[in-house]
Amino acid sequence: MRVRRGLPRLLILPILAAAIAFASGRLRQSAAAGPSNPHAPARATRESSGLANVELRPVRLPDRPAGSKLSNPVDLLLAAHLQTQGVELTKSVNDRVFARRVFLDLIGLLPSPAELDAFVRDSAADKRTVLVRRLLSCREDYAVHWLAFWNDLLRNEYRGTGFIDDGRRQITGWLFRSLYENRPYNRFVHELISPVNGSEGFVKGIEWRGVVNASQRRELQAAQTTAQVFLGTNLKCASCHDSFTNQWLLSDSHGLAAVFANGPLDIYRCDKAIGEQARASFLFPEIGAIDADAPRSARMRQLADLITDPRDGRLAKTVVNRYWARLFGRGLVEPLDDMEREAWDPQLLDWLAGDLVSNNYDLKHTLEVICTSQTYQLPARGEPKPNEPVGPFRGPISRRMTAEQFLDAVAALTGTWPAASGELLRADGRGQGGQVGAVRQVLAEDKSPHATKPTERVRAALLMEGPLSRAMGRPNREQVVTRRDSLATMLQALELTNGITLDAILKNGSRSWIAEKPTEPKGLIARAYRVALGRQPTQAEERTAADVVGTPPSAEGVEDFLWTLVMLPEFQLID
Amino acid sequence: MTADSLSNRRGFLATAGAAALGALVARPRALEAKPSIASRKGDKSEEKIVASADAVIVLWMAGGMAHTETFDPKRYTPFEKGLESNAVLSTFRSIPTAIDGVRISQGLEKIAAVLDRGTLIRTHVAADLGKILHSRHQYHWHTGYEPPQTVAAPHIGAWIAHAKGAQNPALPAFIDIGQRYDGNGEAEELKAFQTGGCLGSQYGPFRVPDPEQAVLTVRPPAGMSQKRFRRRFDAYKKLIAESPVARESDFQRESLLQSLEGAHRLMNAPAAKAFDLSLEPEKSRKPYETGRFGQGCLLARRLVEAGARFIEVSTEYVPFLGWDTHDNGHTRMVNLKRMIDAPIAQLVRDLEVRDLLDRTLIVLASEFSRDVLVEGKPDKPVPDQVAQPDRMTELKHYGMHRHFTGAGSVLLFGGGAKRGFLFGKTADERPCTSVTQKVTVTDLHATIFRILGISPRYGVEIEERPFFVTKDGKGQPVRDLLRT
Repeated sequence: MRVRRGLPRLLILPILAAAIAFASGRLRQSAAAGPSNPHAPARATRESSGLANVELRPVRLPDRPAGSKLSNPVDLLLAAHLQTQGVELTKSVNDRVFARRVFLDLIGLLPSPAELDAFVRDSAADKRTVLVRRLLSCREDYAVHWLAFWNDLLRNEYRGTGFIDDGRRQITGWLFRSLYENRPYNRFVHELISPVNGSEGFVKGIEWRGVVNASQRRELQAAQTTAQVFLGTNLKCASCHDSFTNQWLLSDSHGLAAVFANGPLDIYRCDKAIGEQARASFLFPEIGAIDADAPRSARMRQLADLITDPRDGRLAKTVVNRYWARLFGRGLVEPLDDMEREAWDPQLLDWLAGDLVSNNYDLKHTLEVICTSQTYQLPARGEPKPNEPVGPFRGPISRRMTAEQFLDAVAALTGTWPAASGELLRADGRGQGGQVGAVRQVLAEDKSPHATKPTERVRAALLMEGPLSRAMGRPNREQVVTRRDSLATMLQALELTNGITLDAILKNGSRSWIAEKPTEPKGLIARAYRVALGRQPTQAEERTAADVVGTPPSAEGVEDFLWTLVMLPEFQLID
Repeated sequence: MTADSLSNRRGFLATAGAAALGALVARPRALEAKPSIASRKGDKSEEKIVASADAVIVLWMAGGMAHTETFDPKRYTPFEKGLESNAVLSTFRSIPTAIDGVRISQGLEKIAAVLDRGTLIRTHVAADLGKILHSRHQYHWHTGYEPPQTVAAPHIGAWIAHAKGAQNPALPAFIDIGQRYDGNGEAEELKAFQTGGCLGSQYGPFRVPDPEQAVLTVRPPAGMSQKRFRRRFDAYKKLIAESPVARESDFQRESLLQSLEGAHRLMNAPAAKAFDLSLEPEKSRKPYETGRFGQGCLLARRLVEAGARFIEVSTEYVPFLGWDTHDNGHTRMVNLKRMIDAPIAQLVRDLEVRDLLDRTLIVLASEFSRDVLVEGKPDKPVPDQVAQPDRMTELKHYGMHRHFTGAGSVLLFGGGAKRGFLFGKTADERPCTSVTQKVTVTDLHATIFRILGISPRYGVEIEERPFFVTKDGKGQPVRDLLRT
């Protein structure tokens, strides 16, 4: 057994600056020398891992700059930085761009032309704040939208490996209810780690039949996903051996895994038992210890208590960083799963995390703070090429719609929402499917005065994966996915160009537009532009579109026009 | 600052804390500048590897192909009522091949006639994965890693696409022919390894589930004329140009446009004609007309001619169908052989007369083998999956109905593989297991990669750790199988 560490983690901050200064000179050289032997990078020592300090630092908000009306804490914290970048916080995007952005970000849907017009016409000074609050109160749409995000993180898939013989469970009903009821995030995490009825699937993980690598035993899966998803740290390396890249030891990963173990958990190094058994432990003993001799359910409850302890700032920092990345295209810390790295603005990260904690872990509150900031309302910048750095923060980066946002937007444009088929309503004998049924049950059980009437339309987040959604980046959820592949590829373009799924949707959509018997293309084009892009077409666009649509509009013409619209970068990107 | 230095935590530390630092999305990066150079100091394989093939066709015998019924025949015992199961090693006679002294199983006469163009491996052994399960072993064979993994393991075709790129840029580098998913009880397990994995979706398979309908994958949607298709794309480009929404340079936007251009280019490219089997002359199409697998072989040949890089043609895995013969083994084997014999032989001949065989490696393989009585490895049996009576009372009992991993046959044709070569020997009595050097999946992969000029230690850095093309970078090419 190795000595855990030379110095208690909380004592090392003072020496940290010196360590970094030393490391930066020495290591910049080796970085410049190109990729080194992947097996022998200088191992991050426990001493240098002081960045892993989990406590939140108190942040004093800067004073409002002279003459400005800024009041949002995000803006106050970033004002000086943005000023050095020549970014004027008062130069917000216009109402239409803002509304489209915030609709897609908060509920995953396009604003309808009527909603958009009403918003633009509204002369109230606080209308953007009002809109943000209104969207956050659309509980069903909000919950369905964020369901896809959490499905990726928690490996909740409606059909997949493992179900074949009870090696996997859905948590769809529990997850939807948590989002619908806006369960405080500490409660949410607690119920995943110390499961309640319906949330057991997360800890259960995915079991393939047969013998698996020791680092993929269920207990280790639970340790890895818990550490990655909630604490933004990687235990995968340390599941086989003491990590080469971060501070975790084999005993750390197995200690966390032992919390979830039904019986004694043998420690394996690189798939070979070393003849020792793990004692349940927590990654951050500063916060508290786990009684390794307690029964499993008690250990899991202790772990859930420790992870959600308000002194564990890592929990809040990790989630606000994920949300920030989602809204701005990049996190305050990157990669999102390596929270031991410093944020480009540590104050902002600490403030957002502290604000979440002091507001009862209300993630809607965090979303409201961010989305009502001037910073969020800055014009979007283009995504740089993969090999180019993003550069200093200057506002949001325009993002590609997710598969779900795209499919829902296409459904709105074509007026063709998928119906709830049998497999979506009822789970099969293996526990696959039935996700729409699970969601509707939650809605039906809501007897509160705010209960929303369940909608009949089935949104993409609740569909089975298929060739189109897969091509558009929906992952198979075999592994935790905290950021999707969003770049366009030729395989994806082929699916969009001649895949039968989109083709069928557009054909149906065309029929519904033609059913209104338009006599000339003009009105149809204007309406489609307003639905799809939130604006009127220019005269030139109208002429080009009219050539495609035909006079009077033909079914084929409308179908082709709809295709061109949904392929436009302006449609597929969130600006 | 470059992506490489930023994705390096030490490079990052150098500037950490500065608001001026732009965050960069972590993407996998190649570990080695050139795939052909191994990087570890003192590694014997640090020599330059020269590719001896440009394209690979994997012919996948999905479901577990019995070696003693195909390429490794043993004593033949004809069926009669009351026959002892233990007496049966092969249910077919053996036949001579174009290699002196090497015999294979009856029903494979056409492959026998071209065997001098290839190498026959008889000691390919499947991994020990505890239980013997098709989709799990298929995952292992196709990725080199046993499921599950903490990062998504790429398919061998995705690795090759990553390391070598497309040969003809108009064609997808990885084409997967013949496997359908709908209604398949193990569809999810199959999908789990048919991906680009951690390399990214752009390296994933271009799927052609039904080779006879292949042309539809590169044609405008059903019912749309070429003229209308062109007009639609032209209008699209015009609308982009006319858009009043001003924007600065944006990689998302550029890549969106480029990807659609690429898709349209493929559909109009001469290479797209390769997908259209109706363009194949009647006479040369004939030998391939044994069903979907045969058509898949024809499609593979046409795609290799057009410059494809990696193609897999599957007989299609469906539990209890195809090579997964849990009953009626003998009877079903007759049909399975009919399905593969002529197309595979013709594929070899066609590539040869087109001077493509030298630079195309054909690999025929299966996830494991079968036996009448033994389930698992001889020294490590696992629970029986089917009942096999001690005495065969009906014809349906006659065949190889259990999963066997002690030996298996693999064929290599063309590329840099030896010609007219037999590798490995199995026992002549039950259990007919490997008695000479075994070829593992890891080493078979290393051999395939070697032929393509790819080091077994080629890999990417993902989540700050190396992920190699062969398990942990430890694959060793079986040099005996190579021509040079």
